[in-house]
Amino acid sequence: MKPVTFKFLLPTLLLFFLQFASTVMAQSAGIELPAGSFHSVLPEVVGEPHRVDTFLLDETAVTNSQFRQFLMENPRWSPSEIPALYAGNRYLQHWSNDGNYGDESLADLPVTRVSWYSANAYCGWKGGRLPTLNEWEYAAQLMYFNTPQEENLFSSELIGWYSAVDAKHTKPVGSTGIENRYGVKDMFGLVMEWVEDFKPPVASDLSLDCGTVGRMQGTSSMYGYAMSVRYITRMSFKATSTTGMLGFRCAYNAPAKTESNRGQSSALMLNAPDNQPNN
Amino acid sequence: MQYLKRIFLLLGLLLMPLLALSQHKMTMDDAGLDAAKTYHAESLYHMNAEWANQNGETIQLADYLGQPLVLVMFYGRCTGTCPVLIQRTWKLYSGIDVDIRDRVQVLAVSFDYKNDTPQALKEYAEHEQLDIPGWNFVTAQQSDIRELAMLLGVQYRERSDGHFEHSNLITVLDAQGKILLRSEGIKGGLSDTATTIEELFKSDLQ
Amino acid sequence: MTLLVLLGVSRASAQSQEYTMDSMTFGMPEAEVFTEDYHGPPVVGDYFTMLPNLAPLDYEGNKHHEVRLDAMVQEIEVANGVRYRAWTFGGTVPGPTLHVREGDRITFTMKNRSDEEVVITEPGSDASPYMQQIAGNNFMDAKPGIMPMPHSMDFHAGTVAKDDKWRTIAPGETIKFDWIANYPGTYIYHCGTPSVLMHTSMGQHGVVVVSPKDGYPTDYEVDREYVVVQSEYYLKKGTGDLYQYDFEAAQSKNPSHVVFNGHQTILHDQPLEANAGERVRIHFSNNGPSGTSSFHVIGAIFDRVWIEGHPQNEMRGMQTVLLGASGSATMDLIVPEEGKYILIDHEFADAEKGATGTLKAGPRQ
Repeated sequence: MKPVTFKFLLPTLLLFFLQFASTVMAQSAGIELPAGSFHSVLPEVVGEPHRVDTFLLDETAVTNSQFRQFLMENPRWSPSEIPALYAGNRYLQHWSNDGNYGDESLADLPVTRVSWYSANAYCGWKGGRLPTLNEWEYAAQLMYFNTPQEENLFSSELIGWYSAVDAKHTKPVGSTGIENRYGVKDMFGLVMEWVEDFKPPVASDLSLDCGTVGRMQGTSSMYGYAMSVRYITRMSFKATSTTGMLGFRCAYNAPAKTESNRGQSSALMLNAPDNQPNN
Repeated sequence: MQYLKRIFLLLGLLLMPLLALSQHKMTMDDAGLDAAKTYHAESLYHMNAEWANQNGETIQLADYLGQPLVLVMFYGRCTGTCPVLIQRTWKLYSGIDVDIRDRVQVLAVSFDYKNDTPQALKEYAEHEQLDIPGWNFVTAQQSDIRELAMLLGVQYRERSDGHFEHSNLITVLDAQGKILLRSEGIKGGLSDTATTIEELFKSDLQ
Repeated sequence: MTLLVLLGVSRASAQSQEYTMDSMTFGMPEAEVFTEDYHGPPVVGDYFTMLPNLAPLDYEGNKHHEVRLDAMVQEIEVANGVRYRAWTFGGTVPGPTLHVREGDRITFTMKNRSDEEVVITEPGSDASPYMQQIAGNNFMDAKPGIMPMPHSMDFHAGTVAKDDKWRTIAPGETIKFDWIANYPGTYIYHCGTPSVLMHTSMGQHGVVVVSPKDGYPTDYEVDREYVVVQSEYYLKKGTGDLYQYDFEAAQSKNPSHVVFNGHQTILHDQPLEANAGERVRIHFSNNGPSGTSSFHVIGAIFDRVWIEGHPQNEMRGMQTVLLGASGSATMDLIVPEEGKYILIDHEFADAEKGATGTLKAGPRQ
């Protein structure tokens, strides 16, 4: 080949790769969270933590503008088209019926009043899925706390939030200022979020009445108590439920090249009864 | 030289729209909307996922309009209850009156989106001696499998070792795609279920 | 088809699960949970009233009540300058008071409307007395709010399986079930969704007064009848103007306010009324969630006290009635002379947080 053609070959190929790379990145725009474990208030084996493999999680909850994009390309999920099989009739009630959320100032608010089915479909459309309950709770507790006191204060604020949230005035994603140590934002303080398995098998004999908290573990710790509120709230939903305080974010499987990560445990058990210090 | 320059630029330009298309998974066919509106409110035909079977064919639930469908969820590498569940499904299927049976289809859906490719499903079907007309072993993308499980009421969880913990369920959809019957677990007789399917034909599907 | 037949069969056999024992009825059919697009009044029933009122039982024998009491969020005032977004039944804290007779059957419906704004101050013409009383006397200045949460209902007056009837429902769902008022007395009702401490502290409680089928011995002499409910709030200042739930205070049993009928000053702003020489009956419940009450009326002695409201639990001449959380009593007092009497929880830490009220007595008629 004449030397001069290389001049054009290279930039073209570069262009190709840049495009391709951005495609790959858009497909899984999540933050990678390394494998680890955490103590759940509903463990499968009492005393044993739940293990979670490496996965990717969206940095923020899905926003109004992102969900609108999904509706534009998949109008069967818009309020006027969606069958009763997939959502109650308050689905996206705060949006206009043609699938628009109204004022552009609402673009970055987390989308709410979406059912599990529509959240699951959105994540499938993005090449991913909803996070599992364990993945979500694991990601949520990957927070930096300098002392147990700081953790308690945070958890106590959290319980206050669960009983005082103003579901009429949600704030934009990122606005809580709460980030886990990998930069995943607003796992608390913004909206409750759908997970893949919000009614885990271990809870199938729980009738969600007074005795339920007694069946949960670790609720003497503040964080565990707040966690139990989340579990109970999620377990009360049906897949067609929608509320003004319920949104979601997507998860993605880690690419195969991180096979070597499997088996690692960066065990940071923040809400175990014997509180281990963070490192 | 000019000529080559142009070729490369043209190639680059041609490649860009192709890449833009790959930005999102190919979205579903929305022209089926009008048909969708006529399905019963609780019909599973509203689900427009595309399932790939062991022969590489594409199936949608709505393809079964007008006939009952037996649905079961399993996965190929399962050594626990799945073999029993699949055998149970066969027991149900073969228990149906022979004149009616060929109008009943079975859809066996795999949890294992990674390993149970159409190829692997073909091998599985042959191994189980169930690569027969009327039986489809299918796969789809992760979120579609999850959606079907939610609609049917099947709970499942992927473990770190790639295996799945799951509940056991055989579901029968009626001719409109609504759930007619659910048979949980791996114990108990299925003759009532077979009778119910036969009765469908006697009353609705003359 | 088969399914419908099977369903029909199961309902019929459920009905026949009822049985009587000692002239009480047990074995209620299974609760129904469904989704319904209901936008009507959140409180339906002719025997629902706002505290301290009690609806008269204008019927003989037993009655089958069909009632509705929805769960919803209201922003309310509980003390001067203290407002918070409460979780309620029917829109106030405590919720409406239901009056029934021992042996009555109640078919109860509740929708979880915590994700909807529900206005309680615009009743229709056929609204329950409760809604009419609120509209005329919105002393909590209740305003609609939204805070979607799971909720449930536990009627202490009902004797049923809790995993069936007291089960939790998601926002937007409705539950419907029957219960029989098998025993007389004043019984708390409250949300049973965990954490019950949180749900009751947030406001989801009220009372059912079950009048004994043969009444109390002094019924013909009673001139006034009132219902008084004691409860605690655990509130701290939130961001903005509203107060919010103080979890740590609740866990350590350190209320910010202890009140009668849901508001720190309401029984002073709107005192109970009587005249000298009259027999006043008070149905008193300590709804908690966690405190005890040493209930006394300053200047008076309770002539008769029926512990838990049962005619056979009669005590005479009590100065103070000690009630634990969810405990109740029906008590008669004779108003001695014209003047002011103070209702009080004689545990003064509670009294000073608001557990006081006034009974104003006019001259002898």
